[in-house]
Amino acid sequence: MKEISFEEKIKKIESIVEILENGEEPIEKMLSNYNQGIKLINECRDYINAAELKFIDISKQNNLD
Amino acid sequence: MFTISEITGKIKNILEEEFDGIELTGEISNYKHHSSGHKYFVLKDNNAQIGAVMWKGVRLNFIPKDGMKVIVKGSIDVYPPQGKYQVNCKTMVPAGEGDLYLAFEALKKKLTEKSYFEIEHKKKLPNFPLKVGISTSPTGAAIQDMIKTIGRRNSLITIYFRPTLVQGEGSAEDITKAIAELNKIDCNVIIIGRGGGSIEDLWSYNTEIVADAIYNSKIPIISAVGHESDFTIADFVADYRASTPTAAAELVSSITVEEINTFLGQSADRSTRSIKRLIDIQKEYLGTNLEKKFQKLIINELNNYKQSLDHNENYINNYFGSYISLLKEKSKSLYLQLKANDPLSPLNKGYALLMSENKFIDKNTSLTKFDEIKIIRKNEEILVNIKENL
Repeated sequence: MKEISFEEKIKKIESIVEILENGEEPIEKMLSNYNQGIKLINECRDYINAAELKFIDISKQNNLD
Repeated sequence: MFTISEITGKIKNILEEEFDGIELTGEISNYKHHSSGHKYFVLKDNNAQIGAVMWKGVRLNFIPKDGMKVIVKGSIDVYPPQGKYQVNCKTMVPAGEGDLYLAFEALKKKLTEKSYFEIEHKKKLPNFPLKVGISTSPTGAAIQDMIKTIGRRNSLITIYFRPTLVQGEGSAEDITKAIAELNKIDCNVIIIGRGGGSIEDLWSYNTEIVADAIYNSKIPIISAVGHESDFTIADFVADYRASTPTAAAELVSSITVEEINTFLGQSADRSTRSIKRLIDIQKEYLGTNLEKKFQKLIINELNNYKQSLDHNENYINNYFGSYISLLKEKSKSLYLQLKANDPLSPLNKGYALLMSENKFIDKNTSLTKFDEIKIIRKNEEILVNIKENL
């Protein structure tokens, strides 16, 4: 499966919470949604913990090429 | 003696050699932008005037107007067929603040007519940009302020910095190139900006090429030029105007890491609450509802059985009842039949039975065989001897 971006993960989490709160799906589906949601939340937290401001100077990058 | 051509050639040589690379100031009049792309006009002051030409391909950072004071750099050209001399302008800039203001208004009017400032051309800023392109001077305070602000609020962001000439010769072209390069990087949003300065310092942001570059950018652009009170053409064309570079940095990091963390925590809580509630509902359903349903079903089933048993019982009873009465009926008639054939019944009428050795003597047996027989009558039994066979 393709790795999805942080922003897409946030969107996915939003939609999963909505599905869970609506509570209209069968329980198996709800549980798999729940597991996926928690997994994504943990991935986002890991990402945030690992992230620090990246600063890329394009002119230097171009000179290196 | 000179021919006209000879003297004109000599004048041409002298003038063009003497007045190469001159700088002069004057007021524009009779400005004509020819369809060929060349621009013809007159430069004058109170007492004199000189013809001027700017050949096609020379970049202008403003739209010249009659009455505008300008500074031009160039040389004197002589045009022998007409015996005329004129200034060949290589560069031209407005001379004073008032003239810059006129140029600013002229470009604003032109771009308004081209509907560059219309709201439908504005691109929406992303809610949650993670790649931010910045074009500004590498030496000013603006870049430091922006890095600090973004880093403090949202460390998830990657800044793509394109050091850019923000004033002086070639700066408008460099800003244009910076916008194109940042477009290639696939940023979510671009900030073009610089710190405050005079109208001359900010002039590149009032040029048509920069306006075109902003207008044609595929990526939304935030313009943050100078101080809050400074307005440039770039501000009008950009998708969003921030009053200062710091304000632009705050805008692109409008969602902070703390807010994302809060969102993640809330999402986890809400998910867990929802799934727990769902499980509780399922449990309750199993525990009470289903159990009750089962019980009800079983009781129903048992009742059905009972009913069918009762029904069978009745049937059996009925059946046996009639069978028994039939039997009764039958036995009664048998009894009557038997009674009618009772061998003792003739005794009532006075007949007698004959027995020998405890057996009845039937009609085919001759009494001659016996010495002695028993005669049975209704009320007496006697033994008789057989005397003689007649």
